[in-house]
Amino acid sequence: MKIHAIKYFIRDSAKSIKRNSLMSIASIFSVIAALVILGIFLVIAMNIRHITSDIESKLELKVFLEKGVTEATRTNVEDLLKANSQISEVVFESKDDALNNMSDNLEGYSGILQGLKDDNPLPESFVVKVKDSGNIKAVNDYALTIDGVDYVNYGKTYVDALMKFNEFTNMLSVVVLVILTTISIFIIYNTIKLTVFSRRKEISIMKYVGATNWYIRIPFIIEGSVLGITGALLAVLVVRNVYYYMLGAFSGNTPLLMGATFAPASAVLPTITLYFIIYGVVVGSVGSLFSIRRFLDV
Amino acid sequence: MIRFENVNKTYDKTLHEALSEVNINICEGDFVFVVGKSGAGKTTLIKMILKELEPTDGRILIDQQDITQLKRRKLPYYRRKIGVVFQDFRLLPEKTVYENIAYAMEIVEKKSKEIKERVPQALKLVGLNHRGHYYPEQLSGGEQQRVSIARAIINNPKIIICDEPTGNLDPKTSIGIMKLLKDINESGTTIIMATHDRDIVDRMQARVITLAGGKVISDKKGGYDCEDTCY
Repeated sequence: MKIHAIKYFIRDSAKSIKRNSLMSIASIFSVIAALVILGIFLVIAMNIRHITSDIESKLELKVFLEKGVTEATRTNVEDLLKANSQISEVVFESKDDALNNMSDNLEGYSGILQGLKDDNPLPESFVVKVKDSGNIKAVNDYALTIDGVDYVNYGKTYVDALMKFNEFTNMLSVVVLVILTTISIFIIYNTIKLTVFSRRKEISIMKYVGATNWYIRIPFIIEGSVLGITGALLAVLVVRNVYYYMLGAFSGNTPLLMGATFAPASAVLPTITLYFIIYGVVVGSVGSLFSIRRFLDV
Repeated sequence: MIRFENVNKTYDKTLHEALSEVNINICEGDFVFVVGKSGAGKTTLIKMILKELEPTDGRILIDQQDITQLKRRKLPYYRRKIGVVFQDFRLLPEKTVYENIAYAMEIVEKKSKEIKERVPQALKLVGLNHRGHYYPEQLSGGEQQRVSIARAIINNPKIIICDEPTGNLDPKTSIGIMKLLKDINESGTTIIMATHDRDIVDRMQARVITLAGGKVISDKKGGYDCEDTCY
């Protein structure tokens, strides 16, 4: 592509946006509206993902020992657990420790628990942390094979529910994305179609003189993309400010669930900015391509 | 150079037969009038040379190439061989005279140095060398048509197609336009002109193809109703 052609494309697109300023503003606002709604969904989805991975990193297994195991069996279990490369930490919890922890958790029932002191029914256990939460099931299966281990608990139902919720929000974001993208493309398509219609005479002259279809299309695609990107950047500003406001309102560190917090702005905003810009370019250029198609058939 | 071989055209929707068994041979450097009443098939014939319409059957050869077989993506390059002049000038109102002509060169990606050289030459040729900075609406009809001729010749086409170029002009101005077209023709460019204007045709004494009801009813040199040399 020659430089003067690029100059022509830029000049032509700028002129066209200026000439149709009202419709251009309308398109930009429609992109902003679509992206702000989408942004809210993305922020929620990203936060759920953040919280889930936060919880996952804190996940631990409790390996309960059979009643009345010998010292040697217990040491053997501990050694075998420590020998597993997927396990990062092994802490022993004696019967007394277990009762103390239970008393801390159930303060109102200290009287009842007091009665258990002499004949403590709670089993001994090892609290095991894994290096990667994805291996939690494998470690669970491994621990069950060790002699002297009664059962293992890793909060399966809780973790599974969390994962399912995560999947659901991801799916919902995709559905919302598809609906909003269709709406935005339709609005940009109509805006550009008005521009194309007002310039149909010029397009027919271009065709007669021998301009290629791409030479005619490119200024319109640039115009659509500029509208899309402008809308996207303004939407980023809106989402960014709302997110900072929200972080401020919840002081940024308020524990939401099992000690998890909001995803920090630095983790959310760059991704959203990137997504929005790609979205703006795609919506703008696709909308333009659709709208000019009919007028090129001369 | 331009050859129509048994060309027929029937419009799909109305089943109207716009051209029927048309056989024409136009040589390089010819000046040809295409005359006939409204609906005789003049515009259909011109649109076929521009490949804006496809024949229902038959072949159209331009420089020995059958353009009915031309791929759509090659069409822009084919059209660069042809300059077009319309009855309604089709100038872009928001561009100056200079820009309107330069635009035709920009579109085919000519270098700006070449544009700066060629546009003033073309303006001089059509007698508008001091009107470059005017907008079309500031010019008379004849002057606007001259601009459109300058635009048609700017890329040195081999063929110029004129669709009623004097249709909107008074007789005196029309004569000036025809003189300009004759000069361009004398430099070697083939000119095909569809017209109703009997005076112009009679005055030029060039080849005249007469169409009626989609058929070529005469193809002779001379005036509007000539009886001279038969092609």
